[in-house]
Amino acid sequence: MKLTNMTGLYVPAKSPLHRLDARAKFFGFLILVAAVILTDTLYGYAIIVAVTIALATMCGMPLGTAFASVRRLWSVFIIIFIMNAFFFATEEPIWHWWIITLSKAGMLQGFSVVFRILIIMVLSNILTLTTPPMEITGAIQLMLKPLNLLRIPADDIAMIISVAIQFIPTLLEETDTIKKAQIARGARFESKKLRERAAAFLPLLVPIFLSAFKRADELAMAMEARGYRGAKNRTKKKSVPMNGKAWLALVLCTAICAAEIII
Amino acid sequence: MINARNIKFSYDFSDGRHRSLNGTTFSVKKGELAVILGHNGCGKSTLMKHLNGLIELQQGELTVNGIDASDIEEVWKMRRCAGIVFQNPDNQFVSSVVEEDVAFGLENYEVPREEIEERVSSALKTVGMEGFEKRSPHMLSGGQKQRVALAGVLALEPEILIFDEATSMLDPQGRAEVLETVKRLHSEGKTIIMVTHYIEEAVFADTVWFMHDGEMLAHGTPREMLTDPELLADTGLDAPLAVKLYYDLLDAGIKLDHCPLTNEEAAEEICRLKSVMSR
Amino acid sequence: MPIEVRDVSLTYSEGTPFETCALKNVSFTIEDGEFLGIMGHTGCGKSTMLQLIDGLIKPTEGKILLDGEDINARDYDRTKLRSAVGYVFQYPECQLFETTVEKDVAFGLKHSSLPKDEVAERVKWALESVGFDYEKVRKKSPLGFSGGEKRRIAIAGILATKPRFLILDEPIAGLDPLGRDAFMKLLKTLNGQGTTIIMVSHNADSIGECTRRVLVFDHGVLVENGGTSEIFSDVEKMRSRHIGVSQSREIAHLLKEKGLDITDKISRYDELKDAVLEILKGGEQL
Repeated sequence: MKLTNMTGLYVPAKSPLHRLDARAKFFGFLILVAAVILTDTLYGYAIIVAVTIALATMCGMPLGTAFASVRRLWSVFIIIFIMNAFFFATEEPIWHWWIITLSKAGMLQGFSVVFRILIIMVLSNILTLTTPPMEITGAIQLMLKPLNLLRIPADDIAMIISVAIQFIPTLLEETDTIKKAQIARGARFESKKLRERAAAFLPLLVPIFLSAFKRADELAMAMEARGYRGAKNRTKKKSVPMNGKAWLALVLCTAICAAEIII
Repeated sequence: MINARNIKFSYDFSDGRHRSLNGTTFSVKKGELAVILGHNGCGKSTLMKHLNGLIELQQGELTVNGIDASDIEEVWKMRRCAGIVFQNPDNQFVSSVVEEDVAFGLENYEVPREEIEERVSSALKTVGMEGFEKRSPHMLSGGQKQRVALAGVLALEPEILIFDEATSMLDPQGRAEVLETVKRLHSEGKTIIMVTHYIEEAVFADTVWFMHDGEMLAHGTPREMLTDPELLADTGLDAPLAVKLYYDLLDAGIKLDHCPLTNEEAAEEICRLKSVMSR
Repeated sequence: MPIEVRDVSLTYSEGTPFETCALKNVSFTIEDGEFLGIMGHTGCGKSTMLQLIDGLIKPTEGKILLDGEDINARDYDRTKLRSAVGYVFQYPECQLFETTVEKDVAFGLKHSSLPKDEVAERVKWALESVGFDYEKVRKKSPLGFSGGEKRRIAIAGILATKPRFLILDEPIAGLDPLGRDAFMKLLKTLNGQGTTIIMVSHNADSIGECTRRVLVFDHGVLVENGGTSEIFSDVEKMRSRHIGVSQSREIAHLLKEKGLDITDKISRYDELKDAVLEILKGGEQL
């Protein structure tokens, strides 16, 4: 239970974002992600941060909710930053030793990479917090539609994505339990020695994979038992045309994206 | 309703010697509550998977609601006719929203959208989970999860409900919730098969089947089956506590009038004997 | 005091809207050689309590002492805790990962300074105590066994470290009656040999049969701490906590309701049987 709030899974509420058409949210999200990637100036960053915070407040949940999963990954962010800051090949290093070069350009690069990942994660959290997975699946299906022409089973891919999403909390909880169980058996994840730490991953990875396969197997059985025959022959979602608000949201996102590119 | 004759099944095709089912013969009548008891690995689950075509029939005969299981064309009909609630409550959800999950089966059979909503809410009502439509299954208790899984099966309006050790991973409260629902559905006339190794769950069955090493050892009413210590031992099961007490008292030279099946009956029998004695 | 839990509280996600209190002001001690049961409905904090005792999580407040030493102190030598306490998680069969049974059981001894033949000896002893033929299974893959067998292998892995305290979280959940009986017998034997056993279980029957003392948790609060038969004596209270009592106690309770003179201090089957015999035999003499 304790992990559920950290994974950015759908939380029912009646915020304006919850009520917005899922398709608008999904494509708006993609447009904003494009904006995050394309922007490269301080103003651009400022705008996107403002937009993200505005969206996070519109979730109808405490501001921290959308940021919860990001907070746990701070060590990863530091690593990404360091990798960029120290290994960025440049003409004008501040400090240089062996293959390590610290440079201003590198630090900037590190900052912008971390910043982008962070914003994209928060945006995706906002999307998944406010949109039921099946609706996201619907939007993904819509996006993948053209693939059907290439004989790629777009519906099935969308189904796979949505089922995978809903397994995340179970698997996270399980990882936590197995980790603790192996520590209790004497595995040394806490060890300072790198070799021991690396060796400790096997007792973690093997059981998690085995369990994931078992779960997948049982789920597949349960899905088949309930008549699943591939995503194609299923009741279609009501195809309601998007309302004015949804279009407005999309136009706004596009405007933000355009503004980012121009700045 | 269900007629299985001499079913043989082996997971490993090359090796016919090690069979999961070794000539299983089994039948269930309409409206009956049948409980199958047996230890882990006796073939209970394999048999259940035959009943809705999740496993293809290798040898023997099987008809489910008049549908011949050897006819591969009919497998979808059969699947819709018999719904299964599985053991692990966490591994049967396709959506993280209750109502979407319950609708899953209906969507698979291309039930029209308007009808889906109606049937989802009535299924949730049947299992006592109305009001949970928008919740995430992960946030529910074990018993609630299994009831939602049951709603997903009920929404398809199957003729037969199968509970494949559906209570074995639940706490006592969750078990009680699921059993309560099973009893109610049975009283409403549903045909139900329950696979379990909790002997207490067999007490309110119409028919109890003992399964051992891929075969049905015996079947009969709960009273016939659960008060026979030898038969229980052959199946690898413990007698209900009341039955155990009856036989232990017998060993000590005290005979109760009837062999009790439940704790309440045991208490009654003891009291009756006591009052006869003190007279 | 071998294990002492002193004023322990634990709060999850402190300072967020999801803040939940898992345990509130819990204090109790565990003596050497005890067979202690822990009960409570799902989510009452019992598994959390076990993880705290094994130092896998830290309390927000309070202390856990092992032989008088705070296990969460900065300078505490954790290897002492690890060698003293063995923890069998719920569904321990999920932890198996090695290529052979032998290696998997020996995993917990990897970091010990035991000589090789001593390790082999321990592995043999552990596998035999859970009912395996050592020579037959040692070279097999642990993953090829059935669910119940895998659980026994996993438990052998914990036993091999010869812990003074054996913690078990729902060890019999999902086992069939034969498996349950064999397992409870094993725990009794280990307890007889001096291992302290701390068992969390929903199963009031096995708690009633095996334990001498029970802790009951309710919404993170330790609400009962006393002798098993004392605690089982208040049937209504146990029911209201959604735990219930052992079936033996249940029958005794029914008999008393029907006006028979029978003690409330019954938790085990042999106690029930003796009490019923006394009632009925006593009747004969009249």
